[in-house]
Amino acid sequence: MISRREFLRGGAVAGIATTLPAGAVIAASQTRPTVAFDAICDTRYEEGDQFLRAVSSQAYRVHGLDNDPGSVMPAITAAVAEGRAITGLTTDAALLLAEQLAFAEGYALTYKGVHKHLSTDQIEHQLTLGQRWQESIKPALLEADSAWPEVIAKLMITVTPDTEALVEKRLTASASRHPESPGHLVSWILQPI
Amino acid sequence: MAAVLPDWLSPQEFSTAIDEMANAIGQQWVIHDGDPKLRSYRDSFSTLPGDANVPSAVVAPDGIEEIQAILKIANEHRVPLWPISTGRNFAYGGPAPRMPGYVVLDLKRMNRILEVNEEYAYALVEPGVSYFQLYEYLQKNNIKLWIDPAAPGWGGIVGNTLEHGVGYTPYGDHFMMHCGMEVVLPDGTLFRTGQGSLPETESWQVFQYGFGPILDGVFSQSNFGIVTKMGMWLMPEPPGYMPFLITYENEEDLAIITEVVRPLKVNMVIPNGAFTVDLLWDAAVKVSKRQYYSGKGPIPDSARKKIMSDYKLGQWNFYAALYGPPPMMENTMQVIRDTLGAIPGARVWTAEERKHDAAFQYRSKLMRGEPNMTEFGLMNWVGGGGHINFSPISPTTGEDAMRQYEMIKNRSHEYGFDYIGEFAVGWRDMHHVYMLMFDRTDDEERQRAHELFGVLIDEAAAAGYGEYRTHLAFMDQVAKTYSWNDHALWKLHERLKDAFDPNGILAPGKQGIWPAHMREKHSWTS
Ligand SMILES: Cc1cc2nc3c(=O)[nH]c(=O)nc-3n(C[C@H](O)[C@H](O)[C@H](O)COP(=O)(O)OP(=O)(O)OC[C@H]3O[C@@H](n4cnc5c(N)ncnc54)[C@H](O)[C@@H]3O)c2cc1C
Repeated sequence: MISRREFLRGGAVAGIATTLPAGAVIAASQTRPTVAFDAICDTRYEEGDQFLRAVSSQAYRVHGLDNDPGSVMPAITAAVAEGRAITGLTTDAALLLAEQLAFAEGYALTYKGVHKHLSTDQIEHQLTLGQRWQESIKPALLEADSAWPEVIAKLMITVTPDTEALVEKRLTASASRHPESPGHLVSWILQPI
Repeated sequence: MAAVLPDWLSPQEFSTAIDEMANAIGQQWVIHDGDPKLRSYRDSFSTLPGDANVPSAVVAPDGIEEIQAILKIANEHRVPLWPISTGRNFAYGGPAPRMPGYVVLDLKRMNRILEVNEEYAYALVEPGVSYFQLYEYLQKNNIKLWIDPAAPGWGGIVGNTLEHGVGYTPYGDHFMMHCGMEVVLPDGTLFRTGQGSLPETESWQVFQYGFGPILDGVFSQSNFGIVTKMGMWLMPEPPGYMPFLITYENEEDLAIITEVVRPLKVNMVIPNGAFTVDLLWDAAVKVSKRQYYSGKGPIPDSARKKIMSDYKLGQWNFYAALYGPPPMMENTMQVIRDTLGAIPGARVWTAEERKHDAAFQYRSKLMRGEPNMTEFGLMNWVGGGGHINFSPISPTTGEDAMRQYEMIKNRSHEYGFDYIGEFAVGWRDMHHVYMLMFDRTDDEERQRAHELFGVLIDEAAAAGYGEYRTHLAFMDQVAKTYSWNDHALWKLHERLKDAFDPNGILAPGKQGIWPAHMREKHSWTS
């Protein structure tokens, strides 16, 4: 049987993805996105799975990545061709490739989060945003512990038209690191502006 | 945001020039005035602060006539142009120009595969053809030829070859394997090199020379002309393919590996690029540093040992491949086992034994000409995306390998960075590529990386090692190191620049070659 991860690697229409045996689906934000978006995550890591579970009910399409960051490229090309926004929780390499492809089509980063584990139980979130900053995200991240990808996902699934991300906020929270975690991930929204 | 312009160009003159260019090639092929698409022409991963070297505009012509029209306008208004083909020159500057405010001349629309000749095994391509594109074309048309991609498959045949780039099959020295160029000079003159200048020729892509001086080299790593077509020899698909990996336990093994590789390469026993890859380069494709070490500075030996054991890797990991009929490969493989495999502690691995290893898999693809992007996974080692390559050349000797390794490793550790490198033996030479990874979200770390890079250039030069290419930010410094006989070679480059491009419009400062009007301010001599 094809595994959920293999399935996502091919790019799955959201909704179908959430019916797969992926564990509990986190209740998505009540706010509907005003912009259609695809979601991309690195399914090698628990953080990616958490993120995916939280966004998949709202995303138009979801994609999983593997060891080859190049696997982000067809997903970006497809979303950009149809003018959809793209959200992700990935490694830097995947974002680097995604950016290059999307920028060439007039997209910009309207949100970027850098999530760096400073130790096994501390994480720094560097969030650069356009107009999306919500004060509520700060206490939510401070309390989230290792569930921070869900908090980030909830911030992202209300994708609305936005400006380029230029304002940076940093905060350090306690969060235990999954043993398999790369300890450095980026969350992001690319959208046409 | 208003574009930064070269200091001799007024906003009005720039705007007039851009309007004229838009008239010549169509408004939709000109990007300027804060258009968000300009973002894709930055190098946001280098050691320079912020978004350095942002172009003022981009023009994307299609065809010789449009290029000539742009050149004419650029000459009239003295607008500096920066030609790119596929524009993926990351680790050395990406699509960004040498200085902010230049106009990028993006040749991506000229992406036609003009000819593939299966019998003579070559392709004639335009600059915008990427490795992925040519590979797909051959696959789709069931043409039994292999390309030789650089590790990033989104790069292209023309741009990479002009940069003296390298690949992984027996055709890995790209400039050596190119055959024939078409070039437009800054004054619009169009010509072809080699046999291509004979009107009725059928030999342009089968013989590299013509009658008289061979000029192709003058248009590589230079700013003397725009290459608009290039022939590239392709490798006939062999009847068999046998990639292998040999792991070695000790750092000092690098010396003996290199000594053993030299005769195997010079005598062509190993037909393709032979890569001795350090532990972290291989590991970084699969894991991040924080999975093994969350402290500051270089990863400790204890963590290195753990990675070696978890992933069955060596301190050094030697990759190469054999090609041909299976009995011939078996014979040669025995020679490999008896030589490289006989070094104490060596373990020879077959493709079957490493079939689940992402690092082996992507190298195995590259050595058979299958483009991919897996090596970009290296960016995840420290996170933060910063990367820049330091690439000195040496003869293939154990002594040189160890000397370069010790020099670069010690300096990078002193500056708080990991050594992540590989030694690629092409034929007689060795390209040492040290990938300096840093967290670009940390400004202090970025600056430290910049300083380290400058120190490495001077130390390597003092020891007799020159870089085969470098990042935009360090072109002047590297140019300065090629100083034999009072910089005679660079002085000659400048004379050529003045002759080919008197207005200095083409890629000013590329490889430290500046036009007369910018020389005083920027020159490598200052
Ligand atoms: C992870 C990683 C792995 C890499 N591995 C390799 C590798 O295995 N081998 C390798 O060689 N490199 C490697 N690189 C470096 C680089 O990415 C490649 O060399 C890439 O192919 C260069 O980009 P490009 O082909 O798009 O060339 P372009 O960016 O199009 O061109 C490069 C430069 O050549 C000049 N130029 C381009 N076109 C023209 C033209 N038509 N006329 C005149 N001048 C022109 C310009 O100065 C331009 O800046 C690697 C980089 C990274 C980050």
